[in-house]
Amino acid sequence: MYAFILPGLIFFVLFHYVPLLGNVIAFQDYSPYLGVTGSRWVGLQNFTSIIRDPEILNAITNTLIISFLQLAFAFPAPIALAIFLNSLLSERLKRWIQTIVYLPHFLSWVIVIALWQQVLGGAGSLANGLSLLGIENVNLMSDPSFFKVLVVLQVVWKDVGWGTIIFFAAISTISAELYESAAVDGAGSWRRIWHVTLPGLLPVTVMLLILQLGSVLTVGFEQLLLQQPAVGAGAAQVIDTFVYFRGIAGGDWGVSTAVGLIKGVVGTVMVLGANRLAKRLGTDGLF
Amino acid sequence: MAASRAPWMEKPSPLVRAAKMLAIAIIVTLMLYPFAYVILASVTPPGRRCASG
Repeated sequence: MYAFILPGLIFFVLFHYVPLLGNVIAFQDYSPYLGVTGSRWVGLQNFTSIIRDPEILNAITNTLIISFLQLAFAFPAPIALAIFLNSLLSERLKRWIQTIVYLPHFLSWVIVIALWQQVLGGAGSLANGLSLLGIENVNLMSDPSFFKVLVVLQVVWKDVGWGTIIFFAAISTISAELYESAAVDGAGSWRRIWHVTLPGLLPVTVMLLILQLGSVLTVGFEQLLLQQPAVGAGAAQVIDTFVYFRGIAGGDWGVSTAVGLIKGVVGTVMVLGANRLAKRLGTDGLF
Repeated sequence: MAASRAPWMEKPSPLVRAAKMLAIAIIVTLMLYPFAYVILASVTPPGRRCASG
């Protein structure tokens, strides 16, 4: 019976645990031609050079701002949508809307950004509409000051529907008797949402929040890489794109691995801290 | 499947029903507009597309 877990176990060991050994590159002046065994050891030199790098400070600031905006707006959006759709009585209407809101999830980021370019770009429908009103040269896709909001809006548009699936599953486990009891006690529909639905969603929300906090320094590499040429590195450089440009494109493997290692450590600390906090606040936590 | 209301469930006011319909219209429009715009732009003759901006 335990043989069934073998493929999953092999997958995780090969692709998640073995690559952890590559973190030694963070302590080396790594050269792909010399390999891990042949490269010179430099101790913490890569880490100290990160602290002195002004570009990384910009990347960390952008990452934290986008991450905070995603936690504040993109994370609760599926909960709100799931509660709203759950309030609809017509199953057919509910399924139609679910199908429509799931649709963008299946598109790659390249397609999503091309679509948004067609709507909010310089030659898009918004710019065309505003030019009829006498407002010219509106291009929200290349506006650095609007970029972080744009990133969050794109995430919400693409994944809000898909995110509702897990909350629908959680809502379906709430006993109908609780709603009936609340209604008998005089609770209206808002009161039932507040006192029955939201507490019913709390365990799954806490679990997803803990997992989300673990990837607080990961904010859509592909999405940001694709849009960086339009808005510039000042607005769109995040930790993941910094690692890509410095390590893969720039060949500075040691520094980019050191950044990746710090990111992993921060993510682990955030997950453990959030889990402990969740337990202290009275929920089960994740583990 | 037909809509079913549990006996204890109150009937929503016309205002709430209108607000729900409006919310559905906004959600569907926001989700489908980019697709509709790109498809319409793709099938529009190039000359007409340029004339309309």
